[in-house]
Amino acid sequence: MVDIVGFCLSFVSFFGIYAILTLSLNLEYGFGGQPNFGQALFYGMGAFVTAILTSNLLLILTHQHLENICTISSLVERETIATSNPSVTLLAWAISGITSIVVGAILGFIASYPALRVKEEWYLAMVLLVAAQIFVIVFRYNTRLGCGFDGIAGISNPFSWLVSLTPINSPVIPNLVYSAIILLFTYLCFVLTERLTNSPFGRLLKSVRDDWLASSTLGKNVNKIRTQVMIIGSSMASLAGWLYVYYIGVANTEDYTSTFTFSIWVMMILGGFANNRGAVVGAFFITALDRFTLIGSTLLQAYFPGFNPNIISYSKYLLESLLLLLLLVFRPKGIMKEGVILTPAYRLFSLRMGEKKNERNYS
Amino acid sequence: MLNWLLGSIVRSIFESGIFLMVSIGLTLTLAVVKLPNFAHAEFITIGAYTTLIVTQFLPNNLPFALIASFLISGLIAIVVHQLAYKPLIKRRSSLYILVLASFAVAQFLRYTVFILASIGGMLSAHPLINVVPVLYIAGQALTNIYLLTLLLAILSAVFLFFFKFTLIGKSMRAISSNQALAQLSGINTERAINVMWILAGGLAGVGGSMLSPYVTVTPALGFNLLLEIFAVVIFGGLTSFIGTILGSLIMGFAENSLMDFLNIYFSVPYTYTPLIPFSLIIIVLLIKPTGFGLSYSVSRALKQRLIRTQSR
Repeated sequence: MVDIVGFCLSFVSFFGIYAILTLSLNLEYGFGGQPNFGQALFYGMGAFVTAILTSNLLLILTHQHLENICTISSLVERETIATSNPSVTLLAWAISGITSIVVGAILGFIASYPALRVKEEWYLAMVLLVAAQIFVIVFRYNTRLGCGFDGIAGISNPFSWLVSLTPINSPVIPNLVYSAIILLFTYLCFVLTERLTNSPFGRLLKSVRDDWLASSTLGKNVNKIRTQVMIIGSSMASLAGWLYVYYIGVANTEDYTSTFTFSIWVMMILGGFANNRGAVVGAFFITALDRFTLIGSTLLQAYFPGFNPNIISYSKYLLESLLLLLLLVFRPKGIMKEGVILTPAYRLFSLRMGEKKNERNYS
Repeated sequence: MLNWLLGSIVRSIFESGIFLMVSIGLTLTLAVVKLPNFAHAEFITIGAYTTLIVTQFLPNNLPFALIASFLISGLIAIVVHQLAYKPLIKRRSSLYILVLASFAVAQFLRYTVFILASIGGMLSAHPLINVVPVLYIAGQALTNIYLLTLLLAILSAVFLFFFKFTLIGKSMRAISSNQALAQLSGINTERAINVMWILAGGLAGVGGSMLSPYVTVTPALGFNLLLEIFAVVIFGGLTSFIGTILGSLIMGFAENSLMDFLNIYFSVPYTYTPLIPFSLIIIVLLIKPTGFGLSYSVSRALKQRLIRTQSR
């Protein structure tokens, strides 16, 4: 009764999206020292920009008159376009992706303004948290911007036209393709952050995190590097929002609350502070917790009709917070410790050391 | 024509009283242990649920409910401090880690309440307390809960004002300015901090139980008030006593009178009410991060602590 293939695909997709978010938070906080408690703002902004742009673009590109994107008729219209018109769908997908990344970068630039301005840095956490809440409230209650409480629905998978082309005629194919694309983007983000953090930029980032005063006395522009890291991190979060909206099919403010920001923090702390591999591992574990509690609650609901399935989802949050508390108290460095920066000189050094070790072993 | 004004002023004063009772505790926490405690609002929820449970067994027994919610939220505050915050503070974790830990504590308490309430079937409930109009001023009915809230808010403010002249209040102030020195001069810092947590948690719990007859009690009751309480405290400059009183008055009036005004004359829907405290926080933090309170000494101490943890 449990759809195994669907479960695996959803697991992979959620893992990819959470991994991108965790990598971006790790870049901002783990390496850059900017406590971004408003990660959901950038993520949600990417998602809403994607949803609004896609639903308008699909109608514009097929030369139909523009109507309110919230009505059921326009929703049905969009879904028929997505299944029948590959070129328009893919074009809208690409344009909305690029736009959401750009919007994320601009937002990151704006968010770095208070980061430079407030010196007590938990104020920055507070400002970003509040900004994320403002975003949620505006999009939840403003029916003109984001269709209000129900969110913008009807964003189909950009590969749903594959269904009619393939002989199996099943919705598994587009989901499979889209999950693969999410994983590809996750890999790209991983490579990007790995390259960035192992470069002189990464070393400067770490030095600013550890002692911004010292690095500014050495002539480094602390404000510039903080702005840069916020821009890169938030555009990555917006990218994740873009991928997520096309995966889930609806942009609803329920997904972008501060509770979600908190679970990204749990992933980061669990995996390891300032360690990209650790971030991916942490995202994997929390995705597993997330998906298995979901499947557990549906199973329990099926077998015990009297059982309240909400209790399982509540206990997911309970477990998350308990896990974080235990980690902070007993293992603040997470699963993987912060590694060294792999500069070319260090690579050569470790290679030589390895050779020497081998020589010693042979002799 | 100005009938709405009187009604909204009455509501504003009530909400200011609630804000005052709740946020004084947060001010104390910020002053003594220098911790922006995001779990503070959960004590409101705990207080409201304690009132709910007590009045189920003893309907209309408000004094007993108040004492119970004071004690239970105070005790939970102490337990939270001993289990979660104390080890972290002892290890001199950075301030962000403490903020994150307080987030985790908040979520833990909130979802514990969620699970217990959904087992007990109390996810949204009303306590069995009679709200009776006692006094009429210019056509506005003032209920018994209303008057009691004002009385308690003023009493707690006066109590805390004079509390700083007592021995334990003095030791709290000593800890607030320099904990190591206070400990060296023989002050029992452990006891003073525990008393501080009882007061902080307990006052928030009492605030929650006074709020409970007027709202639907849900496990997210406190969480929805969290940023408003922070707005009050940030406006007051984090640790200033007078600033907190000022901030709670401003928050109360802004959320009721100003919102009514905007709704009537500019037809701004009431769902946008939370935007007022949010914009207040952002504006105060960006323009005048020291707040509009009077004492700056402790915010300086907070800054010093940050510098200390950063340089490590």
